[in-house]
Amino acid sequence: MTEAPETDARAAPGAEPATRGMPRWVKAFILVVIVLVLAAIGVSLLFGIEHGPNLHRPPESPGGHTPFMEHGP
Amino acid sequence: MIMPPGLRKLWLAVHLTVSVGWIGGVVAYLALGIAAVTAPDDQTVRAAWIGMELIGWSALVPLAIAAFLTGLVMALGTKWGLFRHYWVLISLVLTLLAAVVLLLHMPTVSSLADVARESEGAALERLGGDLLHPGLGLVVLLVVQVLNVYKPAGMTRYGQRKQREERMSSKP
Repeated sequence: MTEAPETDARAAPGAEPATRGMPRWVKAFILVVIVLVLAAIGVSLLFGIEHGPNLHRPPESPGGHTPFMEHGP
Repeated sequence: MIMPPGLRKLWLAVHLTVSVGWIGGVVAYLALGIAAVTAPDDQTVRAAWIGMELIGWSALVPLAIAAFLTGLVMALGTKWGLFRHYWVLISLVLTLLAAVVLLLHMPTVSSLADVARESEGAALERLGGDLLHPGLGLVVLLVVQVLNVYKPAGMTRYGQRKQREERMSSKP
Protein backbone atom coordinates (compact mmCIF):
# COMPACT_ATOMS: atom_id res chain seq x y z
CA MET A 1 0.00 0.00 0.00
CA THR A 2 2.93 2.30 -0.53
CA GLU A 3 2.23 3.52 -4.02
CA ALA A 4 -0.51 5.97 -4.72
CA PRO A 5 -3.71 4.39 -5.92
CA GLU A 6 -4.19 4.52 -9.62
CA THR A 7 -6.77 6.81 -11.09
CA ASP A 8 -8.86 6.06 -14.11
CA ALA A 9 -6.00 6.14 -16.61
CA ARG A 10 -8.11 4.86 -19.50
CA ALA A 11 -10.61 7.69 -19.33
CA ALA A 12 -9.97 10.78 -21.42
CA PRO A 13 -8.64 13.70 -19.38
CA GLY A 14 -11.48 15.78 -18.04
CA ALA A 15 -14.10 13.34 -19.26
CA GLU A 16 -16.62 11.89 -16.86
CA PRO A 17 -15.53 8.27 -16.35
CA ALA A 18 -18.16 5.67 -17.13
CA THR A 19 -18.90 3.17 -14.37
CA ARG A 20 -16.99 0.02 -15.19
CA GLY A 21 -18.12 -3.41 -14.15
CA MET A 22 -16.26 -6.01 -12.17
CA PRO A 23 -12.79 -6.78 -13.59
CA ARG A 24 -12.21 -10.15 -15.18
CA TRP A 25 -9.70 -11.22 -12.54
CA VAL A 26 -12.29 -10.67 -9.77
CA LYS A 27 -14.87 -12.75 -11.67
CA ALA A 28 -12.29 -15.52 -12.16
CA PHE A 29 -11.34 -15.33 -8.48
CA ILE A 30 -14.97 -15.64 -7.34
CA LEU A 31 -15.51 -18.56 -9.74
CA VAL A 32 -12.46 -20.40 -8.35
CA VAL A 33 -13.66 -19.83 -4.77
CA ILE A 34 -17.16 -21.14 -5.60
CA VAL A 35 -15.70 -24.23 -7.32
CA LEU A 36 -13.40 -24.94 -4.34
CA VAL A 37 -16.20 -24.54 -1.79
CA LEU A 38 -18.51 -26.81 -3.81
CA ALA A 39 -15.71 -29.36 -4.19
CA ALA A 40 -15.08 -29.31 -0.43
CA ILE A 41 -18.80 -29.79 0.30
CA GLY A 42 -18.97 -32.58 -2.29
CA VAL A 43 -15.97 -34.41 -0.84
CA SER A 44 -17.29 -34.15 2.72
CA LEU A 45 -20.73 -35.41 1.67
CA LEU A 46 -19.31 -38.17 -0.51
CA PHE A 47 -16.84 -39.50 2.05
CA GLY A 48 -18.81 -38.53 5.16
CA ILE A 49 -15.96 -36.49 6.62
CA GLU A 50 -17.10 -34.56 9.67
CA HIS A 51 -15.54 -31.22 10.34
CA GLY A 52 -14.49 -30.39 13.89
CA PRO A 53 -12.63 -32.07 16.76
CA ASN A 54 -14.08 -35.47 15.84
CA LEU A 55 -11.91 -35.34 12.72
CA HIS A 56 -8.97 -36.17 15.00
CA ARG A 57 -10.83 -38.21 17.58
CA PRO A 58 -9.51 -41.67 18.27
CA PRO A 59 -12.22 -44.30 17.68
CA GLU A 60 -11.91 -45.59 21.23
CA SER A 61 -10.89 -43.73 24.33
CA PRO A 62 -9.56 -45.91 27.15
CA GLY A 63 -11.98 -46.29 30.04
CA GLY A 64 -14.75 -44.34 28.32
CA HIS A 65 -12.82 -41.14 28.97
CA THR A 66 -13.95 -38.34 26.69
CA PRO A 67 -11.23 -35.73 26.86
CA PHE A 68 -12.66 -33.71 23.97
CA MET A 69 -15.57 -32.65 26.09
CA GLU A 70 -13.33 -31.12 28.75
CA HIS A 71 -12.42 -28.04 26.77
CA GLY A 72 -15.16 -26.12 25.12
CA PRO A 73 -14.48 -23.21 22.77
CA MET B 1 -7.84 10.70 7.61
CA ILE B 2 -4.75 10.32 5.42
CA MET B 3 -1.55 9.50 7.31
CA PRO B 4 1.56 11.64 6.77
CA PRO B 5 4.30 9.84 4.72
CA GLY B 6 6.59 9.16 7.70
CA LEU B 7 3.87 7.57 9.78
CA ARG B 8 2.58 5.64 6.77
CA LYS B 9 6.02 4.07 6.18
CA LEU B 10 6.36 3.15 9.84
CA TRP B 11 2.88 1.63 9.88
CA LEU B 12 3.61 -0.23 6.64
CA ALA B 13 6.80 -1.67 8.17
CA VAL B 14 4.78 -2.93 11.15
CA HIS B 15 2.06 -4.34 8.89
CA LEU B 16 4.58 -6.16 6.69
CA THR B 17 6.43 -7.55 9.70
CA VAL B 18 3.36 -9.01 11.38
CA SER B 19 1.85 -10.26 8.09
CA VAL B 20 5.00 -12.06 6.95
CA GLY B 21 5.51 -13.25 10.54
CA TRP B 22 2.03 -14.81 10.42
CA ILE B 23 2.94 -16.71 7.24
CA GLY B 24 6.20 -17.89 8.85
CA GLY B 25 4.29 -19.00 11.94
CA VAL B 26 1.87 -21.03 9.83
CA VAL B 27 4.80 -22.73 8.04
CA ALA B 28 6.31 -23.65 11.44
CA TYR B 29 2.90 -24.94 12.61
CA LEU B 30 2.55 -26.98 9.44
CA ALA B 31 6.00 -28.51 9.99
CA LEU B 32 4.88 -29.65 13.46
CA GLY B 33 1.59 -30.92 12.00
CA ILE B 34 3.51 -33.06 9.52
CA ALA B 35 5.77 -34.31 12.32
CA ALA B 36 2.67 -35.30 14.33
CA VAL B 37 1.53 -37.48 11.42
CA THR B 38 4.85 -38.97 10.35
CA ALA B 39 6.88 -39.29 13.57
CA PRO B 40 7.39 -42.93 14.58
CA ASP B 41 7.75 -42.29 18.33
CA ASP B 42 5.27 -41.05 20.95
CA GLN B 43 7.55 -38.35 22.31
CA THR B 44 7.80 -36.51 19.00
CA VAL B 45 4.05 -36.71 18.36
CA ARG B 46 3.34 -35.41 21.87
CA ALA B 47 5.95 -32.64 21.52
CA ALA B 48 4.54 -31.68 18.11
CA TRP B 49 1.00 -31.23 19.48
CA ILE B 50 2.25 -29.24 22.48
CA GLY B 51 4.36 -27.12 20.11
CA MET B 52 1.37 -26.52 17.82
CA GLU B 53 -0.67 -25.30 20.77
CA LEU B 54 2.14 -22.98 21.88
CA ILE B 55 2.78 -21.56 18.41
CA GLY B 56 -0.94 -21.14 17.86
CA TRP B 57 -1.75 -19.14 20.97
CA SER B 58 1.50 -17.25 21.45
CA ALA B 59 2.44 -16.47 17.83
CA LEU B 60 -0.34 -17.13 15.30
CA VAL B 61 -3.24 -15.55 17.18
CA PRO B 62 -1.41 -12.29 18.13
CA LEU B 63 0.12 -12.00 14.64
CA ALA B 64 -3.25 -12.62 12.95
CA ILE B 65 -4.98 -9.95 15.03
CA ALA B 66 -2.08 -7.52 14.51
CA ALA B 67 -2.02 -8.16 10.72
CA PHE B 68 -5.75 -7.54 10.45
CA LEU B 69 -5.70 -4.37 12.57
CA THR B 70 -2.60 -2.85 10.95
CA GLY B 71 -4.04 -3.63 7.49
CA LEU B 72 -7.28 -1.96 8.48
CA VAL B 73 -5.44 1.19 9.60
CA MET B 74 -3.26 1.15 6.45
CA ALA B 75 -6.34 1.01 4.22
CA LEU B 76 -8.26 3.68 6.10
CA GLY B 77 -5.18 5.89 6.55
CA THR B 78 -4.23 5.97 2.87
CA LYS B 79 -6.01 6.89 -0.35
CA TRP B 80 -6.52 3.21 -1.10
CA GLY B 81 -9.49 3.10 1.25
CA LEU B 82 -11.15 -0.07 2.53
CA PHE B 83 -13.91 -0.60 -0.02
CA ARG B 84 -12.62 1.28 -3.06
CA HIS B 85 -10.40 -1.33 -4.72
CA TYR B 86 -11.23 -4.98 -5.25
CA TRP B 87 -7.77 -6.16 -4.18
CA VAL B 88 -8.07 -4.34 -0.83
CA LEU B 89 -11.60 -5.62 -0.26
CA ILE B 90 -10.69 -9.24 -1.10
CA SER B 91 -7.56 -9.01 1.07
CA LEU B 92 -9.68 -7.73 3.96
CA VAL B 93 -12.25 -10.52 3.62
CA LEU B 94 -9.61 -13.27 3.30
CA THR B 95 -7.57 -11.94 6.24
CA LEU B 96 -10.66 -11.70 8.41
CA LEU B 97 -11.75 -15.21 7.38
CA ALA B 98 -8.30 -16.67 8.16
CA ALA B 99 -8.17 -14.92 11.55
CA VAL B 100 -11.69 -16.03 12.54
CA VAL B 101 -11.06 -19.65 11.50
CA LEU B 102 -7.80 -19.59 13.49
CA LEU B 103 -9.56 -18.25 16.61
CA LEU B 104 -12.32 -20.85 16.29
CA HIS B 105 -9.84 -23.67 15.66
CA MET B 106 -7.37 -22.99 18.48
CA PRO B 107 -9.57 -24.35 21.35
CA THR B 108 -9.72 -27.65 19.43
CA VAL B 109 -5.92 -27.63 19.13
CA SER B 110 -5.68 -27.08 22.90
CA SER B 111 -8.03 -30.03 23.51
CA LEU B 112 -5.98 -32.25 21.23
CA ALA B 113 -2.73 -31.11 22.83
CA ASP B 114 -4.21 -32.11 26.22
CA VAL B 115 -5.13 -35.51 24.81
CA ALA B 116 -1.60 -35.86 23.43
CA ARG B 117 -0.17 -35.06 26.89
CA GLU B 118 -2.19 -37.86 28.48
CA SER B 119 -2.19 -40.48 25.72
CA GLU B 120 0.38 -42.89 24.42
CA GLY B 121 0.74 -45.67 21.92
CA ALA B 122 -2.11 -46.31 19.51
CA ALA B 123 -4.36 -43.60 21.00
CA LEU B 124 -1.66 -41.02 20.36
CA GLU B 125 -1.08 -42.34 16.88
CA ARG B 126 -4.78 -42.03 16.05
CA LEU B 127 -4.68 -38.30 16.85
CA GLY B 128 -2.96 -37.72 13.55
CA GLY B 129 -1.84 -34.24 12.69
CA ASP B 130 -3.38 -30.92 11.81
CA LEU B 131 -2.67 -30.33 8.14
CA LEU B 132 -5.95 -29.17 6.61
CA HIS B 133 -6.37 -25.91 8.52
CA PRO B 134 -2.77 -24.66 8.32
CA GLY B 135 -2.50 -25.85 4.70
CA LEU B 136 -5.60 -23.95 3.59
CA GLY B 137 -4.62 -21.02 5.81
CA LEU B 138 -1.22 -20.81 4.16
CA VAL B 139 -2.81 -20.78 0.69
CA VAL B 140 -5.19 -17.98 1.76
CA LEU B 141 -2.35 -15.91 3.25
CA LEU B 142 -0.23 -16.35 0.13
CA VAL B 143 -3.15 -15.20 -2.03
CA VAL B 144 -3.45 -12.09 0.17
CA GLN B 145 0.28 -11.49 -0.12
CA VAL B 146 0.20 -11.76 -3.93
CA LEU B 147 -2.77 -9.36 -4.08
CA ASN B 148 -0.90 -6.89 -1.88
CA VAL B 149 2.23 -7.04 -4.03
CA TYR B 150 0.58 -6.91 -7.47
CA LYS B 151 -2.36 -4.67 -6.54
CA PRO B 152 -4.43 -5.68 -9.60
CA ALA B 153 -6.49 -2.86 -11.08
CA GLY B 154 -10.19 -2.60 -10.52
CA MET B 155 -12.33 -0.22 -8.54
CA THR B 156 -15.57 -1.16 -6.86
CA ARG B 157 -18.77 0.76 -7.65
CA TYR B 158 -18.33 2.54 -4.33
CA GLY B 159 -14.74 3.46 -5.26
CA GLN B 160 -15.80 4.75 -8.67
CA ARG B 161 -18.56 6.86 -7.12
CA LYS B 162 -16.17 8.30 -4.54
CA GLN B 163 -13.66 9.09 -7.28
CA ARG B 164 -16.35 10.92 -9.27
CA GLU B 165 -17.42 12.86 -6.19
CA GLU B 166 -13.83 13.87 -5.46
CA ARG B 167 -13.36 15.02 -9.05
CA MET B 168 -16.54 17.04 -8.93
CA SER B 169 -15.59 18.68 -5.66
CA SER B 170 -12.06 19.50 -6.90
CA LYS B 171 -13.42 21.24 -10.03
CA PRO B 172 -13.52 25.03 -9.66
